[in-house]
Amino acid sequence: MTMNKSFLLLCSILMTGFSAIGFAQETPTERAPGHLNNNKFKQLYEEFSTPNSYRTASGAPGVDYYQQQVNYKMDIELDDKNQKIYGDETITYINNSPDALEYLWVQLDQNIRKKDAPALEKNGSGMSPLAQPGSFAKDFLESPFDGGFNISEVKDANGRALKHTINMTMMRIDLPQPIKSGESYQFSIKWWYNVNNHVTNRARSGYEYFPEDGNRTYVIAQFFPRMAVYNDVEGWQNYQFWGNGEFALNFGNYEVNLTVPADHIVDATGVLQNPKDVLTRTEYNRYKEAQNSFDKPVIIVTQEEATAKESQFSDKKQTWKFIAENVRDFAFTSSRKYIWDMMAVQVGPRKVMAVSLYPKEGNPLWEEYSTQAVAQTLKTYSKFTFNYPYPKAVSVHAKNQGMEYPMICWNYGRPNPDGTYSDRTKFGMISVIIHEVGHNYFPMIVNSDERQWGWMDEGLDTFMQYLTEQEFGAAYPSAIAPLEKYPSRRGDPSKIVPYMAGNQEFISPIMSNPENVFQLGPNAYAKPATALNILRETVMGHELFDHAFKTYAQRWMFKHPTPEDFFRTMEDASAVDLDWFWRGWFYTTDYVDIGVKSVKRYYVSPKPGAEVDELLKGYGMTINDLPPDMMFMVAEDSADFDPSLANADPMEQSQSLKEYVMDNYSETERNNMEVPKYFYEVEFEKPGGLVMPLIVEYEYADGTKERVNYPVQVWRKNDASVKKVLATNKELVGIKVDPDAQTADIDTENNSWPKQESQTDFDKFKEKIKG
Amino acid sequence: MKSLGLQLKIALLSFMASALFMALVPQDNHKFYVSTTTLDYRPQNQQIQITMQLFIDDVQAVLNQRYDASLRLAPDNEADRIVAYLEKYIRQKFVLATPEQELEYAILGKEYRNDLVLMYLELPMESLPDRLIIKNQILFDLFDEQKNILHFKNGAYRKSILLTTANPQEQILTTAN
Repeated sequence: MTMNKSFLLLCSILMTGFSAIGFAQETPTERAPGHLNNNKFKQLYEEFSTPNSYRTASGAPGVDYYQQQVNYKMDIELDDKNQKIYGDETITYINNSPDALEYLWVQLDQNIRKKDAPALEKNGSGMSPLAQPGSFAKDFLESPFDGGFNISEVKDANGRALKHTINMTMMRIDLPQPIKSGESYQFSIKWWYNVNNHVTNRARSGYEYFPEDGNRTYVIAQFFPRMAVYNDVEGWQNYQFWGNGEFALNFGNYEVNLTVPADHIVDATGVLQNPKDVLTRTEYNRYKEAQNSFDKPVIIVTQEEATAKESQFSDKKQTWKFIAENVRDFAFTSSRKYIWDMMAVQVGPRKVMAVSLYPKEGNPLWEEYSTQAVAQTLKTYSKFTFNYPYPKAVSVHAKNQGMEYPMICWNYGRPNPDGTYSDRTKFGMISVIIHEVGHNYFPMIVNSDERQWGWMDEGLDTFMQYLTEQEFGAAYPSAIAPLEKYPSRRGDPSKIVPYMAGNQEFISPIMSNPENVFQLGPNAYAKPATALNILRETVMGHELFDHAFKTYAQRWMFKHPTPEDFFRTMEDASAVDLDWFWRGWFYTTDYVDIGVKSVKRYYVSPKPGAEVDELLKGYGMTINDLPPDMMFMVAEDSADFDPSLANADPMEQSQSLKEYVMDNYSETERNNMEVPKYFYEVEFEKPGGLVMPLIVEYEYADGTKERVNYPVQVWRKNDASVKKVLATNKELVGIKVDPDAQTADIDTENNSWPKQESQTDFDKFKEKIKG
Repeated sequence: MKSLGLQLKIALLSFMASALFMALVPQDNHKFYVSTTTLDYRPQNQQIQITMQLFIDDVQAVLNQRYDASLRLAPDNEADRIVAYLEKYIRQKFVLATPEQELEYAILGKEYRNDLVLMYLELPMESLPDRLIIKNQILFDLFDEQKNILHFKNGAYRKSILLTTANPQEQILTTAN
């Protein structure tokens, strides 16, 4: 088949459309230089590590995936009078890697509190020409807290001293012979340290002092030398502990004997082995009763009993024995001030104990909500990931902090001294409990490397926290009344807008080390949580998202995933290409700003307008070169627009269309045919760097509205703007982009046509006070 | 109008003193201290409309520590003197000025939204100066990690700044040119 030149030209005109720049027009004299692939949809091959036999391209553990195992046997003593902790631990290191290891790295996190710790000087400071005496004294006269590990012995299994070198928070143990692949090695460390006050220096671990009764509540963590992780992506993960990047830890089994004052109540990671020895007969009976109380918590130590003990200060000691299996860490709490309650929760096939410990200062709030919030967390998280595999989850009251460990966590939320509390205190407490208990899933079980990637646990956990809060609100309407929805602080797209609209100098991509970001809260918690919420609600939909998210959680349960393992699994299990989403939301600081730029109405016209002549001229053609049966469209702002076209039937304005329809459709088909009367060309603009699905609501003169979701792919070939044609039987009167605020659009002033001055909070408030 | 120079100096010195007061220690990872303030120039109203978003808990804590430990912020039922304390505090910590003079704003009021308190301020502005000095030390006396984000809007022109204890004040251009 042969085609003549003008036919080919015509085809190209019709294909590129009237608005596009014709490529046959004048050749530009200056040629633009070439460029790399800057497309927002470019594959992530450069950012992602190459898949291998340890980690597959599908995001699952590969055939050669391995992880080390570390078992601990520890005797710990808490000296309440002098606030010291003593430990003697035996570590069994099982080398499952294919490599021989000539040394071991042990983490000494307490060393961040050494007097000369470099972490104390990691931030800048300024000198002041005047000062308050109190702060001057604190900074320059008081000696700094004498923290950090005092290592008294490092010995092998035969009692021979092992050569060791301490570099800040990391200790290298040099081995007489390398530990070969598959071998295990046993050694022991003896240590002690001064316990800090976690309230005054806002630490994750330490004690709170209660001056009224002279007691302390201890929340103790990062308290023993812990093995560093050795794996296929980092080698030894011995990035120093500077304070923000949390922990990278191995799974293993723990046998821990905790010796504390005899009148203390203790709870910890793991199952208590000797309740009969450490509890009174009454406490023990309540403890047994609680194991089968599924409807409400049983109080093991009442407020009255706990308060009575506050003045005892027993000189005797007692040892609480705990065994924990397959956990990545161990933490405990101890105080004579504790009230203790627990209830059983059915999670899938297993029974889990939901437990709370709090001093009387936490009541009446804690008694009412803590254990309930624990139970709700176990239910919701289990539904979205996997059934909670541990025997218990404990929430411990601690002033000002929220911090997570396997099976146990510290949470804030303290009523006023007179027992009253605001809704904010209540919701703050419920939220932090959900968040910290939720951390059992990420990173305690889906064991990501927090030192390197804070968002992998904080972001996923904050996302799950949002879902759980909403389910908590639905399950306990009386707890949130008169609100209808739980007031979640993070997760809703509109809540991340102030951060994403902020000064770019102080924003880092999510894919940054936690030490080096400006605002860790939005960076590692709120933004990734919002991104996942947007993925679930707007990009993927619940069904595809939930399946993929669950697949990730189950694939990496009790293993060590990397960011790519998450990104790859979410795509692999859903068949949704998300490279553009990960690139934009996780690897850049781009933001969403999409709007409607212009709307132009077109009419079918019996004769060509000047625009057609102009277009043809560019190709060296005239109207006579066109086939006789062309149709013509005229824009309303064109000089050729004839007002009589406004109410005309398009079919009547084009003889060729009428004939084509008569020739190609039967009478019945023609009768069922709806001929659109209104033709609009809508141009959308995208000042923001992020590509997102284009969600549009069209409003018509008859008051009806139509929602159209154009796929994100509309931005593939033009990152700045895109045009869409709307053919309809109703007159268009309004357009709204992202009408339900689903995309975290940072500037909504361009979201409407006709342009609407959106009412700000300020405007609304002013109207309100005017009355 | 007050002389800005001396006042700013005093404010700056007292800020330095409070910055010194705070120890550099590892931070608990689950509480974050951020406020957001929008300054919206409305030529048609001849004013800058200011909306300040603060966390209620933080505001309550600072009022308790500075003025009265018994104060409780609550939407329905709260002491009248909270308003007075809050105004006093904001006027002390939030200062707007041109390079020549301090600018006087009106405090219209506040409202609560979930865990936020929204403060509304109004600054008369017959003609917009080229430069605006913004100082926002709100909550810097309470937390050394506090960060105050400010967004200035003038039609399509936007300028965002992040104020920290180390950098409590910035001068911005009010137009793109």
